[in-house]
Amino acid sequence: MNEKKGLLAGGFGMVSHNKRYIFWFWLLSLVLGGFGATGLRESAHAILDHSLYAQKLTQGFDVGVYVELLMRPEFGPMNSMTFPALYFAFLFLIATALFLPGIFSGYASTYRLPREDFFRACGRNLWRFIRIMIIAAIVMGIVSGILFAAKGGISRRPGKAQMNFCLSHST
Amino acid sequence: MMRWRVVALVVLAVLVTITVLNRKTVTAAPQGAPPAAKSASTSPAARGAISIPDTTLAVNSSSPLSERVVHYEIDAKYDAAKRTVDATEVLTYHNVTGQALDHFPFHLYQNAFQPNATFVRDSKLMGSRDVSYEHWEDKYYGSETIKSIEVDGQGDLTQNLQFISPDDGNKDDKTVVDLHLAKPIAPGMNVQFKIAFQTKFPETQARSGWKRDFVLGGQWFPKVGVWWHGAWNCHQYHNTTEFFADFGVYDVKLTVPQYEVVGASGVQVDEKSNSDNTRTVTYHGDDIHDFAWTASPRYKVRESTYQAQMGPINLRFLMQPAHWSQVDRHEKITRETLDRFEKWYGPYPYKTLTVVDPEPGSAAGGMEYPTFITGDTSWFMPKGLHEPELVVEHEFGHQYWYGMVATNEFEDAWMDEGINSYTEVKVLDSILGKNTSILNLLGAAMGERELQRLGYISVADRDPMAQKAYEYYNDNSYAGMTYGKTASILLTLEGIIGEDTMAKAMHAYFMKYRFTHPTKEDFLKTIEEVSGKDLRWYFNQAVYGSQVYDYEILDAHSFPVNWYEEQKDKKKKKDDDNTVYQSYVSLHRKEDFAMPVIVEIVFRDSKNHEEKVREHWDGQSRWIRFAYQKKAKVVSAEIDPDHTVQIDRNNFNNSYLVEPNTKATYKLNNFWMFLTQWVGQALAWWAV
Repeated sequence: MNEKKGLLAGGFGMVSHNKRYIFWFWLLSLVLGGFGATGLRESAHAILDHSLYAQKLTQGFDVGVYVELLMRPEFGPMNSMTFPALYFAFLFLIATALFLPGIFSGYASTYRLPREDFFRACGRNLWRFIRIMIIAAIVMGIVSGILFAAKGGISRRPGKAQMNFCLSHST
Repeated sequence: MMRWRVVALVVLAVLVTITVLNRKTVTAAPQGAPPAAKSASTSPAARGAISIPDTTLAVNSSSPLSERVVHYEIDAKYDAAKRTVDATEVLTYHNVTGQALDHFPFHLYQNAFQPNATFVRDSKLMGSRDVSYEHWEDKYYGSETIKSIEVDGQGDLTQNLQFISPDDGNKDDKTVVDLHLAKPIAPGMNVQFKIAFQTKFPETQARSGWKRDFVLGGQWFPKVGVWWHGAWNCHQYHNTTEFFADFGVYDVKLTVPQYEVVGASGVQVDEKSNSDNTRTVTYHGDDIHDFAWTASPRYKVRESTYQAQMGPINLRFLMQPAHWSQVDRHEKITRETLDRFEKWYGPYPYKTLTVVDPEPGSAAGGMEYPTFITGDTSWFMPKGLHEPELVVEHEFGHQYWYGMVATNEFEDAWMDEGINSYTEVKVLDSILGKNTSILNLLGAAMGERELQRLGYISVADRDPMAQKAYEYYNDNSYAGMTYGKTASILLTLEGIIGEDTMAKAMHAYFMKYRFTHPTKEDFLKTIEEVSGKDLRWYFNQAVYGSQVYDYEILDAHSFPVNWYEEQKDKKKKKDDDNTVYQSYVSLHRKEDFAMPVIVEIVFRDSKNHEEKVREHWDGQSRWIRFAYQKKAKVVSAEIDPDHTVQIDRNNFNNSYLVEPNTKATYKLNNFWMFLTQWVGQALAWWAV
């Protein structure tokens, strides 16, 4: 019991002494998120800014209006919005992989880690970190495959209740 | 002599008594019931052994409600292991056509589920709502085989059966079989067919079939075509068509394994256990034109009574165990829908309604049969997501538009699906709110009328509404036109003739054409008669044509009348209170549907006082420009300010704000940014 309390308290202490890491990551996430939304923003400006119909998105949120917006040819294909968003999300993942070794060193250190030491730690442990992520991806893939196969097997057996979620029109 | 006088007196007394009793029966028709339908067996020759019963066991009426053309007596045994039905069917047919009939076509719908059948070919070409048929599997195979057919007085005519394909000439399609008689059936006469058949159900397709240990028996027996407008109307089964049959009486015995929970059209009149671990449940239906049933060992059942205008209705809900928590929602929407339909359109006359929650993952959800409907839900269905309500309401609505007003679903699919979609909007608006009838969850909302419109505008220029269901470009066009466009044009029609008038027209249409087979002109003329208006200009474009409606504000701007003086003397102070502005607002008809439009233009002066001006335009020319001189600038213009038009292809260009408002754009931007951040964070956490 004391160990657990010590672990949590210790962890919280590490985080609170290194709040700058959280701040920088939040800022990085915000900037990359902003870039990721650029495609949608530019397409939406042309259609929404001069239309009273857009009020249905600001006074509450009318999903039908949103869907109609996505259907407009001048809005462009969804790919032009989703791919940038995915790219920047992936970029954030790369940034996490790059900086996490340095952050761990910072947490482990008893003093405020200088910038040079931080980046040196990032570079020194980067390849180790990438190897860990590849192994994690392989393990997750195997586990997911087993779970999907089990789901398929369960659904084929008669007499078992099956859970499905679908949204459909009465069409 | 005295003895003969006594005998004559007794005979006279009996005759008088019979006459008096008959008169009392005729005058005791229940309130709300249609005039008693013609007796199916009026001619002396027709009376006798072969006749169609005038029972009213399954309806809250003391006399038949329809002209009963058919009587199906089916004795069926379901083999749950093989998923087959072996049955005998006695079909009594009353020839009301006025002509001698020497051949009778029958639908064998389950033959549609074969690799070269028209249904499967259509699905591969046009798309399908359930199975894509990318590759063929044995479980998709269905069949309906007539083993023998005898005609009363003519013997075994099995050899006279011939498959026909009146729609596309597909010789591999066996969904219509024609029987040539040895002797024609004279007008007014009854004929009886004794049919032995076997049906093999496929895994559910087109809302019929099995899934695990669940079965839904729809379109499972040989069904005679309809004599309509001087000829047999018996189309092949296409992937976008439904059904068409005559009204009559059904007596069906279903023998199923003992452990099955059974539901069906009509009322249950008998049940008995058999020595071979099966039980036989008997159903009876009056004034219906189809019979469907279902069986599953796992249904949980709730029954309750609804007091309708013509009498009590037994409501029966067959729910999946995983969805039992939603039975209250199913019952509530059923009751509220019944209430609206009875108040607005007319009485529901049947004594029963069965609502089935089909097996998850089956393609049996969202279907209608007389007095028997299937819903569609899932284990996760928050209260703000109204899918079960939408489906139950829609399928119940078909009890009116299809069940009682029995239009030809092959040729005028929009008349049942579309009119039903229109009344669905009205009913759900009334029960769940205009803007929240589909979704009201976590700040997001959506209304049914918008959903219908979106379905239409996605295929707006593809097809006209009024055409045969199997002649649309593809499955999406069929759905968009028959459901979405019909609902949208009828909602728009409300704006033209008035909502109250439209309601009266719908009521008049139902009351006049229930238990008949009306055509599209019957419907359209009813609207014109009730409204007192010539609406051909609208119907020609909206119903018979494929014109698309799209009006836009092309431009709205203002500039000072004395703009040149400001340029000459830049030091001169602008006197805003007295500045007169020249304003222009231009409207443009982008597409080819022409209709009168109203535009509302808002002006604002230097003191922020607003003035609204409404202009009318007949919408015929390609564009129009309105000009004004006021001490105020134009700030916005909006076409259809009362939002009565539901068929506009693009609502964003209906209005124009002179000064841009970026609130909506940045709201969407923030959502998207949050999503991007979330995905990035989730990826990073997963990796770590």
